[in-house]
Amino acid sequence: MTRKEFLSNLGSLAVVGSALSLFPWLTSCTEKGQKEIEGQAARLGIIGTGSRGQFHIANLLVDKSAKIVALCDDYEPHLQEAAAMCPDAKLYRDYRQILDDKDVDGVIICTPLHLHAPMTIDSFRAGKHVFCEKSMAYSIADCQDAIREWQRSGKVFVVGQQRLFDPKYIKAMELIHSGAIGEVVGVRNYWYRNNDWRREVPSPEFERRINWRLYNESSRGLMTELACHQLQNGSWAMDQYPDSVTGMGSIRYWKDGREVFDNVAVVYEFPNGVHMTFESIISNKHFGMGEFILGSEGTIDLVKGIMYSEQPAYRSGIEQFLLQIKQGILSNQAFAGSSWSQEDASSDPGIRFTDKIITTDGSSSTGATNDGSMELAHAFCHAVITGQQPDKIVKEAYYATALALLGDQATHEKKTVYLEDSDRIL
Amino acid sequence: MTSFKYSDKNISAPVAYSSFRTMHSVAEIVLTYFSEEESRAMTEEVWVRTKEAEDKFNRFDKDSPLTLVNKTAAEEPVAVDDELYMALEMCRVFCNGTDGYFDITANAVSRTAPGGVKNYELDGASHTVRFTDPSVKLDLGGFAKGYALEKACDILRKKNVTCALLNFGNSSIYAFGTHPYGEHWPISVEHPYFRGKCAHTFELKDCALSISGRNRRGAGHIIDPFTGNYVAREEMIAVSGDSPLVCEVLSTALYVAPREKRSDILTRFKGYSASELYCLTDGTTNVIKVY
Repeated sequence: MTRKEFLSNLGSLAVVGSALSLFPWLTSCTEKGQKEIEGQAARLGIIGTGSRGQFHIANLLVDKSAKIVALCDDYEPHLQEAAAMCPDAKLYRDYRQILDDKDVDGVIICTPLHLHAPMTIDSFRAGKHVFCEKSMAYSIADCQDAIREWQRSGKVFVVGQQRLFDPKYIKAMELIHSGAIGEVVGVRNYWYRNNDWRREVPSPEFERRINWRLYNESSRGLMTELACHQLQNGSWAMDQYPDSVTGMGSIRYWKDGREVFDNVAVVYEFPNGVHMTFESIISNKHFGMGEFILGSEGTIDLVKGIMYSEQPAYRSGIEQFLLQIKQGILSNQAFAGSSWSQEDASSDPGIRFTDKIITTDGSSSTGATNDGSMELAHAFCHAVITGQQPDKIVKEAYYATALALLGDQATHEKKTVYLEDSDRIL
Repeated sequence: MTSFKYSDKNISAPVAYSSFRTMHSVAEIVLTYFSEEESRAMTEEVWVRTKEAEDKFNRFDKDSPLTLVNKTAAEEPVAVDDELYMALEMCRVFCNGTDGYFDITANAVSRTAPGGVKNYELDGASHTVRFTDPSVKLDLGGFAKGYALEKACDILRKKNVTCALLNFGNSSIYAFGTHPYGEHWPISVEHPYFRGKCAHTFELKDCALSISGRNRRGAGHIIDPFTGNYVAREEMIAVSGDSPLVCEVLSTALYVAPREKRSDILTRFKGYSASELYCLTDGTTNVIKVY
């Protein structure tokens, strides 16, 4: 990716200015940030070269600020697939070996959830910069351990919350913070799929390694794998964190030996009384993926990049003739009909607030193109090269994970759980 | 809410546009060949007159004269002003003239009996209204917009307007003269299933057009006085002729009336023509003239 392409991806956000105060982690996206690393490349090792690892590799291979020097996986097929993508990279089967490699400046950890914290902590101890996939860790205690080790290390820490770098989310948040939809009164998130969430395994002994998402020992299910992304939306829109969550979950359809729920419904409450929902079912995909910020004067659809007004402007019937006559022409657009009806909030076609919007239905469990992942990986490279920690990014990631974990706890205990003072470490 | 725009960029056809929210919809005027000052004054006069009619005929306004009638005319005769009295008289005439298919008491228990309205009485000497059925609530919804458009046209006619277009809620339209660059004003009906798509174009010149049918979401909003149910026919009815008020009343009545009765009703109104517009889900439209 050239600098021009990168800046183009972020559109007007490249000029930042006011945006930087709201989104300080975007420093790497400024012209200045780009110039700082011109001609330099972060030497990276990838720990975990499965589907998500390979997704990052594909992005990094077109980023001139990245050089993949090492690959590590204990599952040989994945390692060889990644090796084919990076023929010059050194190959390791144990992540500790990559940490000993002096040619590696930073690591990208794309392993099962329960391994995030120990690998992150070991990486910092080995003097590496760390990009860890989301969720940050398997438990709040693990998250806090990782953060403490990061703070001790003086290295940079980035977590894979790519929405923070997705231009349409950034533009949406700018609009929300500018008051475009009035006061935020609700946040609605959902993520529906219809598949078993399984990966093919070559033989039964690989089941828990390949399908780690399905087992409690290695995964917190839908909350850490899906909700974690969407739970950022409310905090980001209101600049505060929920203080409680209640929820339910069950294994309703995929009764195939898995341990994590195949459907959940949770509600978070913010200190200002706003509620944020997250629903996920993976045996019905009718609704796909949706993320909405509901305001007293409008609604923002984050996924589609559309803003709807509570009181849309009416569509004029004959104003077209003003322009025609002004221009000395005769034309004709259909407007007449059996009855005029107000463009009410539910029928407002809305306005797109970003150009060239790319939407995703959330069906991919690997990653979508143009969803901010490429920019996030680039920001990590920038941070590795400059040694500058992107501001607030760890805090955002920590609370996204903490909220997901609390939601998971609520669904299992079927009660309201609270974000305790001890959970508020940043 | 009123907006006003003016352009004299085209010196051969200076043009004004004004819009005004009224009667639960939006009214618009395009007016050509006048100065900005004249255009503004004329449109303001129209909006003031329209507002007067709205204030008088609005059954949802708790302070309107019509609301007072609806509240008390079942108990005692209610005196109304000349304009409201005349409007109610006209509604009675239209009701009779449309075999009861235009009926401002359609929501009452005692709905129209074919051939006449008996559930409200008008006393010409005292200008009073009295309901003979306590369930009557007069609804001038199918009358007021056409009436207001008629009054607006009167105002502009007195100002010697020769080139203008008035659009009251997209369903009641009047064209003065022709489009400055055409032989008529082209008025295209939007296809109900395809936003922005033209279903049929009417060519208006010194002529009114009114369209009745279901609303954009497909719901009925006109009550059949013979059944008390909302009418939800597939087709739209478009009526054109000199008077916006007659067009409005006729399009409503013909929409409610069964197909076989439409021709008979229409022939009583000389100089008016009507079409049935059958808009299909494939985007096509069949237009059938009512003879």
